[in-house]
Amino acid sequence: MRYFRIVLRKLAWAVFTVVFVICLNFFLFRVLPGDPARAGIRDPRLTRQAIEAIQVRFGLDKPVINCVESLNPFTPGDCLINPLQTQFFIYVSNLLRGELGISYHSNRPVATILREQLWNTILLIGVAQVLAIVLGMTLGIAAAWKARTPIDYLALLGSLMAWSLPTFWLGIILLFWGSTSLGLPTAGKSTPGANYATLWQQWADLGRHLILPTLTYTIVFLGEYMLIMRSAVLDVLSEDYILTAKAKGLSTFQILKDHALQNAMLPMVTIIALNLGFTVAGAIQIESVFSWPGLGKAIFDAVGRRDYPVLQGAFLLIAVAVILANLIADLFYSYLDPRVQTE
Amino acid sequence: MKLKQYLALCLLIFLLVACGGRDSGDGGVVLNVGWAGSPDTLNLGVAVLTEAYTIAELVYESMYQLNLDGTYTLEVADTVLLSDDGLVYTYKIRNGITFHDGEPLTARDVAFSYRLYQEQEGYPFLSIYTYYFDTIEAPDDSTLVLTLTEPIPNIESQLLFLYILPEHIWSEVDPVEYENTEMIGSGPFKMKEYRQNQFVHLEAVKNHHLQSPKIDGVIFRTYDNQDALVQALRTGQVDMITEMPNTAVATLRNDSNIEVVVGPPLAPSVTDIIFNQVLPENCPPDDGVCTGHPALLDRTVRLALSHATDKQQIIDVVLLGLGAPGLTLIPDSLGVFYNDSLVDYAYDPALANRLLDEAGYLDTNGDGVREMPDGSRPLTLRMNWPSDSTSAPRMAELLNSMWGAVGVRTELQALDPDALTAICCPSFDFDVILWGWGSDPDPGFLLSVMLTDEIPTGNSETGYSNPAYDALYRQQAVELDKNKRIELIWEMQRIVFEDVVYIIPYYAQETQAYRVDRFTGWRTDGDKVALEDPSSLLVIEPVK
Amino acid sequence: MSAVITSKAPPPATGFLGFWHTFRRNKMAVVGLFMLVMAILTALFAPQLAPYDPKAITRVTIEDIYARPSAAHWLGKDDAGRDVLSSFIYGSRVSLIVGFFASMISIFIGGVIGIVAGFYGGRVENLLMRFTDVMLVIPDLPLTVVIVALTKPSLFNIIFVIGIVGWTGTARLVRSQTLAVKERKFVLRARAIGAGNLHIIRYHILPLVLPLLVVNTVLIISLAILNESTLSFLGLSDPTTLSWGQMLNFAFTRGAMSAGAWWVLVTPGLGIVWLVLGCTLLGQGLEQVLNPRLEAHHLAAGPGMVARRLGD
Repeated sequence: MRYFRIVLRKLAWAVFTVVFVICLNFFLFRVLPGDPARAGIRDPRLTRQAIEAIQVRFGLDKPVINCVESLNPFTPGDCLINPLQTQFFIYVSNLLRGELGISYHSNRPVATILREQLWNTILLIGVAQVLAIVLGMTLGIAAAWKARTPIDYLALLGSLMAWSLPTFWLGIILLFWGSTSLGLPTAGKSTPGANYATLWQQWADLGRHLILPTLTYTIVFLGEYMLIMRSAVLDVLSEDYILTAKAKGLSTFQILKDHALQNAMLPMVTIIALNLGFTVAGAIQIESVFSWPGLGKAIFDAVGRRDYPVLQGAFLLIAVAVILANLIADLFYSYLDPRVQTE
Repeated sequence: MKLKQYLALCLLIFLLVACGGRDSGDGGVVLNVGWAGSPDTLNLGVAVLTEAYTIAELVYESMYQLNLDGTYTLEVADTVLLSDDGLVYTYKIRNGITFHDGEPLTARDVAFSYRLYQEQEGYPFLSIYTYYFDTIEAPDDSTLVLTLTEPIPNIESQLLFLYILPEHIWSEVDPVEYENTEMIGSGPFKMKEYRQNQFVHLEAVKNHHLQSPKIDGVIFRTYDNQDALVQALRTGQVDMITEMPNTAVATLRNDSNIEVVVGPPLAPSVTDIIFNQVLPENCPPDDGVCTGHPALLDRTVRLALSHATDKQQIIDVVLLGLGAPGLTLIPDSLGVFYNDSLVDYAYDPALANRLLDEAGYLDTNGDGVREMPDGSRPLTLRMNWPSDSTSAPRMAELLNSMWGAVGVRTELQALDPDALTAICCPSFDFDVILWGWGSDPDPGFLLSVMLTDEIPTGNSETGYSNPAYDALYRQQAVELDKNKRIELIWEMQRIVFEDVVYIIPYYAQETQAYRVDRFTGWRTDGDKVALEDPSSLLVIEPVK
Repeated sequence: MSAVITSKAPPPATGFLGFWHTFRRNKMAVVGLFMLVMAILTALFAPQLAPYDPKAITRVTIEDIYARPSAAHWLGKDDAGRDVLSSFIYGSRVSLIVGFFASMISIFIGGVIGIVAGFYGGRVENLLMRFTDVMLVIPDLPLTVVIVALTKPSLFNIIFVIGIVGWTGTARLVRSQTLAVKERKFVLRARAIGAGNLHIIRYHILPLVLPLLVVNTVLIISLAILNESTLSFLGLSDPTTLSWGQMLNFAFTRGAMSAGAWWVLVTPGLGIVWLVLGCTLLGQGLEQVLNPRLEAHHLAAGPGMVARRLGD
């Protein structure tokens, strides 16, 4: 029962945060100067009527919210208007219907654009995260097991170095190395126009395109997981029951498997959830270096073109994903660790 | 993780690397083109980017086509008749033209398209070309009668981008919302597959009424990263690239498999150094802030800055030499309209210093910066440029040191393009801006930028006002004799050049490259460079 | 480990010598300190070390652009025909300034919020920590884009942006440390004899939170430097300030790799790795020195826990 109440409270908090993020996201982008008619495009040939038509199309002809006509420059407006006719209300009601507005740049619904890109990003991040977690944990265990030996120091230094690399910089270097010496593709997720004889060929093509971005990702993430694993294992190894286990004649492998891994689970889950935002930052850099058609590239392009509806939509999506991930991690955490339940 | 699993993983990666290879495919002979952009939308009515027009050029037809030498030929029509008053054009549409879905293209489709462009308020850009349209009639399937409100000399460039859309599709859809991903046109290529920001896959139309491509298809692939684009050409992942950083030219020229092509671009563009010279009486009453430095109103100062600008140095650093010093807003790629008889102000800092000294702009307090003749304020100019420009920061640094050498200080600040538009025009809240224009094949628009009437509209970025120039503009706009019109346009260029309205640092050249071991027959002998133009894509053949 | 560990709290300051003695034995900390000091010295003595003045006006020919390394120019030339080594040396100044000041802002905001929340507890704590939690999930990038678009891309604004998005981790950490400290006997005793809140914070809480803040600062410096390079990569930073991130940006936008000019790309990149690695090593080392118990505390391991990269 107690657990149930905790779940409920956390759920309520998550909902509140989402609402807050939606409001913030709306007003943040209304503070900006300029309008879609001129965003990123410099074509003053637009007539006044054309500009007005564009403003109507993007819903910018209406007041921002009751009492506020526009935020940049700040103009107070009529407070007694129908709130249903304000930009804010229209934004929220569109949101509830799953609509995120229309891209200034491509004239397409933002939700469609994001939906197309999302799966590619999930694929890339998913593969890379699994690789990073597996490799990082292995390295971490090895380092902890051989603590204070050259192996440990090497692994430690390597991980810290991997963590210190600017992601985009590593990406471009790997891009040149991979395309020159391995003949790997430099852009996209598949060879356009290719006719695959078999499913295997199609997967191989995808795999070849995945290698370089995944590698970059994995290297950047590896370090953090390795460090967590290492200290978790060190932590466990210093506990008394390890001695008992050893005395019982359990093999090292068995001890690590039974105790250390379990112990490392909690911090790992937290860090993966917390890292989601960081993951997206990595995605922006890696996807734009390798022209991977994902969310990160969409954000990168939108930043360059000041395509605010896309940015707005993408950020909402990310924020909600981070909130969800944290919620799940939280719940998982309190489920795994009874101490949290009693608070 | 066990050793075995590791080995399996390594093996998998090895297999992927090894077995991939270049996929020949069964789609026939397909040209792979790499570029850094991507069409913003395939609905040309709302498209902005040149990439969208590049694709449209291949998939659609219009009344005229533009040749590499700057001339026009009729495309969907056989003949054209012009009435004596210069107002009524009667086009005979060719027989037997079909859209990609098999439906015939008739004069009714043309009329429908032109009316759409004229009437659709959601089409901000194409409607400009219909400005002089009065009535559009299609009395029968093969006749189109276009009546204008005024006789104009440049009907070809007005109709060039008004692509002919199939009425049976476009009359059924919302012309603004429609994404047009099937892109049914009548051009030599048809849309096969489109992934926004990834690739555009076009297939050849084998029995085209004018000319069928020799290749079976073309794929335009988007590379977000310029280095990746060049690398793709080098490793043979693409056969041609439509753009590249100028810094890569030297390295690619050393590659025996690659041929680099450099020349004036098909779509004219110009880079300009804008001086705010709006007079107080011309300051737009609604939007004007007009905070320009008073010294810039003085032609001597602008002339001195011209003499202080080492254009060749800018061209060397920014373009690695691949450009020509500019004269006026009308670039050399506009061909006959470009006044090549003007002699540029020579780079001569000593002369610049003397001009400023004589005009009374002296450095009275010895801080290295000149002051106004009345000593009121120093010659410190704000210099802004759009933050998305990759070449402007380098140019700004150079101008800072060049103008600094003659006692004119500049404060450099990149600005978000939106913010730059906000201070530029029509608010005139700046001193100097580094920016640029893209242009039609006709100089009409670029010439209009310097009109007095355009100051309040935001078109004029300098605030320049000269009644003589304005009169010449009105004259050339209705001059039907081509040579006389050119004469007028040359005279206009002479006027703005002598008034030093802008400093034009350079006209940049297009840099493209292709692999010599894949396709042959590229048109590189024309006046302009555009390997992605139908003029090349229709004639290239695979290397045997 | 000479420090006497009494409870969960870090060792009371046993004098600088004691600290130095422990510090010296921690290889990570020493190497990190060495790397950071090297970078600071380079920045301080840039005019003496740099063979050329990167702002000097010289006439450039096409051959100068991306010129290969030579005896006169050890690391070749960049896209403007300038000496890369000199730009690199001067660039360390901006990178350090950004790192230092941005982390000061983060630490200040995070420290104040953390201490106030931890010390006062109750409603104040609830409010502040909820606020922190919300800020933690909001992606930084829109904030950054908006600030840059609203203001102008300048060094000051970049520092400001990086500073105000990076404080959440610190606030959380400081709060939990404050919570632990405030229940200790000498704090309770001080309160019993009537010491004011500010006095207690100033003389009892802060000294015990400070070591943690120092560690955190060093780690956040490294993140700020990485973030600056990311902002430059996104084209959001100021092209007229010569930082390593900006050098990389020019290398990217002006096709350095296509021109085969690897030195333009590799040099500033390695500079960033050097500085970030130095700070991270120092931070990790310091953590172990100041608080040996933390070594065994599984949550303290990853740098990501106390600070975040941009884009979260």
